[in-house]
This record gives sequence, C-alpha cells and structure tokens, in this order.
Amino acid sequence: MNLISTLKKLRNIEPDSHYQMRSRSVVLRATPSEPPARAVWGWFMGNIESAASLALAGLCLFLIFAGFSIWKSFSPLGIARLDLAALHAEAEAIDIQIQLANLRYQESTSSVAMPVPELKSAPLKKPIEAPAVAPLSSTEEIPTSSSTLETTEASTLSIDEALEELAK
Amino acid sequence: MMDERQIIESAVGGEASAFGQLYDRYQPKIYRFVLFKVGHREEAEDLTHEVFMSAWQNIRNYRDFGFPFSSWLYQIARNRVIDHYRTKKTNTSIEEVDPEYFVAPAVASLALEEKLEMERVRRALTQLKPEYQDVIIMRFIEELSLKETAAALGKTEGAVKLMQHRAMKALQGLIS
Repeated sequence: MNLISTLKKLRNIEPDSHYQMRSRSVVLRATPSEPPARAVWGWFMGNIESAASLALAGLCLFLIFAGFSIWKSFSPLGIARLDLAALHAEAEAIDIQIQLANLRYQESTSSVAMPVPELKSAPLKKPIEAPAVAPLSSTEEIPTSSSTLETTEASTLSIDEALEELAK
Repeated sequence: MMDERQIIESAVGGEASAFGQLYDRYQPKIYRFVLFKVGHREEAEDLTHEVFMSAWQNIRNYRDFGFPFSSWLYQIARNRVIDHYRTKKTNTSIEEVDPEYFVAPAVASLALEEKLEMERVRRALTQLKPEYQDVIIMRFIEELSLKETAAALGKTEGAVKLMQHRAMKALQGLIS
C-alpha cells in the first residue's frame, strides 16, 4: 500500500453541503467583537517590557565585561594583589628553595653513598656514569634531581633501602 | 478579483462577505482536520462551526505576522479539539468511530478496496499521538507547506520535518 497516496485520498472527505450552508449563514449573521479597549495600555506595557529587557541585557553585558575590573578595585578579599610582578617574584623564590633543598639532599647522599662493587653489575638499572662525588661549592652548577636519584640508586643496596634512606 | 490579503483585510474590517469567502476556502480543510481528530461527523461539524464562529468574532484581533491565514484557523481548531477532549473526559475507541463520512460523494465513488485502505489508514491515524496526527493531516492530507504547518503548530520548520518523519514511521508501523 502506498501510504502517501492513500493519505491524499482522505482529502476527498468533505462536509455535508446542507450543514455547510447552515453553518455559514449562522456564522456570518453574528457580529465580530470590538477590539479590546485596553489596546493602548497593552501597547504601553509592551514598550515597558521591551525597555526593561534591553536594560537588563545591557546590565548583564556590563557585568560580564567590566565586572572583574570592579571586583579587583573594590574587593575586600585582596584580589588586587594578583599582579604579575608579585606572582613572578613569588615563583622565583619558590624555585630557589627547591634548588637549595636539592643541594642539601646532594650533600647528605654524597657522605653516605659509597660504591658497592657487587651492585655495579646489578640488573635492575644500568648505572649512569656518576660524577665523582665531591662537596659542591656554591658556584658550581647544581645537578638535576633525576640524575642525582639515578646515581643514588646505582650506589645503594636496593631500591627499598634507597627509599628508606630518603624517608629518613 | 481580490487576492487573499485584501480579503483578509476586508474581513478584519468587519466585512461579512469577505469572511464568507474565507469560510468557503478553509472550512472543508478545518472540517477534515477536526474530523480526523475526533472521529465523529456530528462532533466534527459542531466543532468546525465553533472554530469559524470564534474566528469571525475575534477577527479584529487578527494580526498579519507573515503567516498564512490558515495557520491561525488551525490554531483555533487545535485549541477547540483540546478543549473538547478536556471537557468530554472520554477516550474515543476505534470501534466507536463513525464511518458515515464514507457516504460523501467523492468517497462513495471510490472502489471498495480503496475505501478499505482509507479506513485502515484513518484508524491507524487515530492511534497516533495528537501532534503526530496534526503533522500528518496538515502535511500529507491537506498538503500544507512546511511554513504553514510550522506556524499552525507553533514549531520551527526543522522540528516539523523531524516530527513528520517520526509520525510517518509510527503510522507505517501501525499499518504493517
């Protein structure tokens, strides 16, 4: 069955002609109602609503684009301190502290770690040629933390022991 | 010969003959729409009469927003059908549906097989969701454009396309 053509055939259904004439005459004998008297008031209220929505939209845009600046100036939480120079200085200070901590760690491991002959051929990890351990002076370049750890692993008995040392 | 816009303007101005022309043009469409929704010839006649009475009484409130006049009438008809079911509080059973409309001259002349097919489709149509019924009646029976259907249903053209696809699928499922 072709559904669409069958649906189109349903268009042949028509109202009864007597009913049509009767209904038509009854409808047209009625009088259309007058437009509502409050049309002017409705127009006025419509304008007020439009103006209010525009104002609200404008306020939202203003808050989105200018809100952060206002908050920065008047915030009691001190967000004003979030300037780039202060952040940079703080970041620099943190970096120095890390380097000093590495330095201290390097000094402490250098006094403890002694090469053990049987561990040089340990299969766990290929030992990296560790630099000769010597106390570092402040002018020398500080080694990176990864190379320091690898050196330590190569010269201790096992990983567990190295971790224990670190825990101390 | 006046075009439809002029006829509508005259009708909005209160000219009964102009509204009479609109009545002649759209009454059969609205009648079929209502008939497929309610399933009874007499109820469809009463509701269609109420639709046009309401349209004529409120014609001065009609505003041309660029949508076809038929979409305004379909909106009134949909609301009338919804009110009808709300006040009636009963569901129409398929067995109760009035087959009297087959006596209409254009339908009476069709072959029996065609009439049976039409009846099967019409019954399946009554089992669909109301919005699916609306879209099938408007798009396939009355052959309204997407724009007209969208305006009458208060939806976007894209939504009507999607609904039309789903409605046809559901109808085919009911028939097969």
